[in-house]
Amino acid sequence: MADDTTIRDMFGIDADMPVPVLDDDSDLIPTIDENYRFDPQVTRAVLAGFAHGSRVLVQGLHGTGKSTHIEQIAARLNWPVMRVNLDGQISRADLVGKDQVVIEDGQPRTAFEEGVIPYALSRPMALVFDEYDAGRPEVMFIIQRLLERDGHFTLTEQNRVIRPHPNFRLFATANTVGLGNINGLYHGVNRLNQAQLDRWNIIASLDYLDPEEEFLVVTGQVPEAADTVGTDGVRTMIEVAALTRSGFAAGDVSALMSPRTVISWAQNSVIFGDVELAFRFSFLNRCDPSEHPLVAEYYQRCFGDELSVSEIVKAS
Amino acid sequence: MLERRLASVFRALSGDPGVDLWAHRPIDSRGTLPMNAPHLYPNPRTSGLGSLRGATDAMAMRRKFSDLEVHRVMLPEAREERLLVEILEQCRCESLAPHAGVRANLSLRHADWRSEYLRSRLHETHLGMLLFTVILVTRAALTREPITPAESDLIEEARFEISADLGPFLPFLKAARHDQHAFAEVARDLARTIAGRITALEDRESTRTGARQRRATASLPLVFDVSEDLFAPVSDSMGGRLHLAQGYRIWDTSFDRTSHITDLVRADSLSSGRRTIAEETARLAVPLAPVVTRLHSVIDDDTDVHEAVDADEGILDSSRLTRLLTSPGDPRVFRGRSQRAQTDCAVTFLLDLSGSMKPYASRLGALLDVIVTALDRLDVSTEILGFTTNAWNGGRLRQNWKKAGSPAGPGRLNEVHHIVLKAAHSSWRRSRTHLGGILKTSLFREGIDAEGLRWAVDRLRSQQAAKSAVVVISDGLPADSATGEANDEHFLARDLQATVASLRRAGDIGVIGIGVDTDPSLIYPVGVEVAPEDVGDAASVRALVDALRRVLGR
Repeated sequence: MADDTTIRDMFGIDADMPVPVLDDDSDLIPTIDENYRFDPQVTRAVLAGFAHGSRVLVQGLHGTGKSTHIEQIAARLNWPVMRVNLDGQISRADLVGKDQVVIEDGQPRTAFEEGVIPYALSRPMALVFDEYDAGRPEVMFIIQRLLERDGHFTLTEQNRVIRPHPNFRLFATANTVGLGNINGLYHGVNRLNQAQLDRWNIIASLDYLDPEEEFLVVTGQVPEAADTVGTDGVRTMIEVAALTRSGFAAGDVSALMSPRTVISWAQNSVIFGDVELAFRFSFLNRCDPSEHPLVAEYYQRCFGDELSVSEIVKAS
Repeated sequence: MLERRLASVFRALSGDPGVDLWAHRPIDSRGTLPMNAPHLYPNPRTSGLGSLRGATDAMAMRRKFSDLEVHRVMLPEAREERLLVEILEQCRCESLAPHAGVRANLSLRHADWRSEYLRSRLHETHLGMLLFTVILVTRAALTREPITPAESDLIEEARFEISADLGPFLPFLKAARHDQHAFAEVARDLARTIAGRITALEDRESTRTGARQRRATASLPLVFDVSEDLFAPVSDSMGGRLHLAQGYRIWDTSFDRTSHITDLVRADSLSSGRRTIAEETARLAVPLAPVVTRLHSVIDDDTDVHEAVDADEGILDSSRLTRLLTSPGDPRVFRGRSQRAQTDCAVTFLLDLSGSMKPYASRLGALLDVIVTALDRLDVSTEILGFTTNAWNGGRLRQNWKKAGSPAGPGRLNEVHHIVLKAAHSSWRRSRTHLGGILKTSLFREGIDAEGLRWAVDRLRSQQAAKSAVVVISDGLPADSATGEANDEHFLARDLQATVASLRRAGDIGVIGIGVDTDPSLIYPVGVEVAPEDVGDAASVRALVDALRRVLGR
């Protein structure tokens, strides 16, 4: 591990924290996105995780780019990353592993096929649990064991203990509900969720990019947009996105525009040469029809133009 | 619907999820927000969409850019000066509007207001013209929107008259646009100068007689008739109507009670009531299967929380491998997950049992009969609750309040009575009969909705279900005669609005309002209006099911 670069050299953040860079060429190292904008606070938190093995939980609203942030830091540190989404579908067997019947020398026998955790734990790898607050209780109990101080993981299925690789790192991302408080961690197990949160050494908060930063991201990704739509046009698109985010935070709309959505909107505007049509394709058609009139209000506030919405929907 | 939509825009533009619109007035959890510039309140019946949008956007800009406390400290005491400072502050906030569409709406609304002002012929008095001129000139200076040629001609004389007074302030006002405190300092000085002129004018005009003066005083309310609740200068005592901005109060809770319907209605009455409802359900003949099917997709949740050990299929359990050797015929060496569809969902129906709901009792019973039966088939936990009062006209609370010398603003002034018709833990099969209690309409008195809602939500939260919804069935706003008389007519309605707003912010419980002959979407995030003659029929059931799908399907 090389430790001679600092956070200032690599991320332009005003601090002297050394940055650990791995000498690795795994396929699991993410690709660098040159246009990615780093949030100074979150970057420092995540780098502390990489440098000192702290467990870092990044919380932020849907679409703020939490996982991408961790990935993009890992990409620059040459660190392999494995992302696991803890939504309702993942099971204990996926995480820990299961016995499978294999044919060896013509004879059937059972062999244990390890799951994500034993695999990642024994390698130099950053394991990221996405949607941490959506994990089901039985899954959370397993992660709880990972979060113990020494991080040893007992595979009861095989009666063995896995010691984590020195360069194994653990991260998680979670949505926040309301004003920055994590809540809704698997309903009704509040005590456990407090115990869980206590085991994360660093909890960082990622908010949406500020409009000017977002403008640089969008024009960096879609340089043609500045010609087709104009720089003011791109800024106005970002204003619409900001209103959908406020609306989402207030519970008025059930979908919001992430920076990724704005980039799609800019790309589609270039393709179709029509901002309004591109808006329909990129965002409006994803919203519940009952929310179209409100989204049209947001659009009117920013562009000053009416977005035509079905009269039937408007009257309902 | 439009007001709900505008309220959402108000929240998004101001960046404050806690604000709302109530009868086109801006509110938050403390009450009506003091925004008193006259152009913020277009007549909702006669104004176009653009004007209504502009007014909402103006309120949002005010909320976003103006700190209420700073403003209150800086407000002068004299009425005319206060009004001018208020208008100037509103104008400052509007001049900071970042979005092009918002700026267009603001401009349109202000132009409409100016037309209304001229149509009301307020400018025909010297004083009216002076105010109009000050507003136009300062607004143009702040927003850089030019005054139209026609208006320019109209105010030419007045403008000339006050240019010496007004002129020196304009550059300072513009320079201080981004600093509320510095701006208020300039605005106060400007207001004092202009108010000096207004006082001189009023003295001069009050010596005149005839229609002109009468018209001036009769129509001045267009300018001044805005709530001044929060606008008592800071040095004033905190008495009078200022308490409106504080929270909900209750005079006395010692007479409140919660009962189960079986304590209130005899068993034979419950049974006969149940028969009546069953007949009504049969007459309306709403097919149950489609209701179950439509709810099924949003409610069913495959959760498999427990491990089955000693199973005869699944993954091999290493701790049972010895069993293979000791008893080879025993297949129980596996562990598996018990896959069963588990529903973790709770729905509470909260009924408004106020007097006006009496005519709908049996049809309401039929509606609940169908929907609760469907939910029960899907293993959803259900509660049926009702709220009413023990007495009419405030009962013992009002008597005690009178004895105490009727102090101002006593808060809720009646004995609350909450009734459980079906609790979550009792099975529908057993408590079906209790639904008959809904026909005992002598229980129906007055309605204090928000306290009923908070009670229902506390019970619902204690069930800790993964998905929860509360359905409030009511025929209008909360009404309690004694409370309304002793406080103000919107006291209970505001509390309901604030309660629903805080539930929406908490976000853990879906809230649905079913309005019988009234539009509930004014208050509830998801509202369904049902005509009295349709309660319990297939269309009303479908509307309720769709509302449940919306809130549970999130």
